[in-house]
Amino acid sequence: MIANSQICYHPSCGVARLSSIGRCERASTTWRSVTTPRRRHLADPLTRFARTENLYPRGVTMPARLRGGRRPPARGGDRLGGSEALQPSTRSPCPGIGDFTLFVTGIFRERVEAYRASIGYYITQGKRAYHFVWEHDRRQLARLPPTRRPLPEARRRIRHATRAPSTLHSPRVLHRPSPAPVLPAPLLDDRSGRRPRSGIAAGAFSRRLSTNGSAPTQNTHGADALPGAEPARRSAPGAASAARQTAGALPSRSVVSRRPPAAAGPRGAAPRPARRARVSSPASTGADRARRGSCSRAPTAAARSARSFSTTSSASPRSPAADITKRRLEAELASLRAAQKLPWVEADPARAVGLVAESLQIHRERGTAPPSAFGRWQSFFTEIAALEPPPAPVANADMLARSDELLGLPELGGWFLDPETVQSDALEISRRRARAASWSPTRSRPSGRRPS
Amino acid sequence: MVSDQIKAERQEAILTRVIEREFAPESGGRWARRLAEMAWIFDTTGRPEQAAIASAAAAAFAESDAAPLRHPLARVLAQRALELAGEVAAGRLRAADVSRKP
Repeated sequence: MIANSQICYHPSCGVARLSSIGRCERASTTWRSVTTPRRRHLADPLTRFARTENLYPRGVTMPARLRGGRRPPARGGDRLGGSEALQPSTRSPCPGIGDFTLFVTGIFRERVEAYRASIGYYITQGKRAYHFVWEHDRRQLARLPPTRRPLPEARRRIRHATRAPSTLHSPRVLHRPSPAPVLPAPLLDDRSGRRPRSGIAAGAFSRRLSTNGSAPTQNTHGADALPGAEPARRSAPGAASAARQTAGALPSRSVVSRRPPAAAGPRGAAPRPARRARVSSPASTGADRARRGSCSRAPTAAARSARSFSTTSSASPRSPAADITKRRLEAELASLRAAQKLPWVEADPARAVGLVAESLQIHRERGTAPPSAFGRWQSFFTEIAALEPPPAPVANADMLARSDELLGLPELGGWFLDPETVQSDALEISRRRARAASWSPTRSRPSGRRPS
Repeated sequence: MVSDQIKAERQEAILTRVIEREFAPESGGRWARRLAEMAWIFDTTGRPEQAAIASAAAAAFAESDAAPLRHPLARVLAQRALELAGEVAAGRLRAADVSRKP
């Protein structure tokens, strides 16, 4: 029956009406267009009221209306005969009343009308019952504290889907470069066997190391613990003091650290060759750019390239860049990228150095000075030769005719001659335009009426 | 009263003077070097067409008998500079805003 029927949600048809297909002309919603929750809500009373006894309220064996013999609206009576249904004071009968009215007005509509019962009465009571249920639940939820209120279904699904396994924590193993079994396992609490929640207990770390280092046969293990203490301090902030104490206590026990020889430092040691360099396009504003309108921006761009090169590679001995910490280096690179939105190109360090030297050479030839910000790096490029000129580019007349298109690119957006150098020419043009405008017939003609 | 043709010729004369002064042979080599560097950057960043244009513009500047008057890029640069200077002369722009000096 359901398969060959459709539901009419038209207000004149009641809360819902299940009629044969094509029978109700006002039907606007077919069964297929009904959403799944609504289908479930409709299928539930249909299946529940398939058994006739479920039509009656619990504890009622015979319909009150049927006993009175006046208004038997449906098969076996209804739930609307009692006073509790008309004026619901408790929640428990209300869902059943709503479902009953929905079912009866949909399935047995003709029978209700045949018994001269009011369809509107059923609809009103059904709405009232559903509204009472909704209002009752809403007030019950409002009484609960916000933390105990149940989440809506959508939010609950989202939380369930995105819930991170926060309750699962993998034990963090101390990273130790030494293979000696000083710390054979992650440090655990001696009593509970659990890992401390925040870092490593300072006492536990110290006890472990001091125990391993106290025995004469295991002193070497204590020495091995020294290089392991620093990574442990980094990974577990709570072990910082323990690492420091252990490092200070081990020498008193004749434990000699077997640290590897220090790497060549930035000062007084062999310089490390540069591995990477970045070159940006010469389209940035600079201190000495286009002094007299001619091309003098290459030095500025190369100086910026040198800056990026120096901060990136730390190539020179006694370089101030060696004193730059990693954080400062990152901050400087970030500021460079933020100041210049143009693309950065990875280049051979020799090329970057050569560009810097070339720009400095141009500065010397022109008698100009590089930007003051470059002064801290300039001394490292005194003995570096300029870059060899690249091979001559190939002439192409067609491409040359399109060369003005380049000025529309962001990289060349800042390419223009200094207006100060052409100021006199611009003034001359302006004067000539003004003179021509003053002699134009429209200006020289009098504004009054012509004499007749 | 000056005809439009004469006005255009006078303006062209000023533009020619600016181009010949600003794109002298000694600075033409630097322009060629800059454009060659831009060609390399365009080529590295995957823009071969623009790299070819920049390379052709660099070749035109690098020629010994280069004629900057016929170089489209030089003409546009000079016109742009004259327009900016005219705006400054008219008081619509501040000289410090368009100056290339620090």
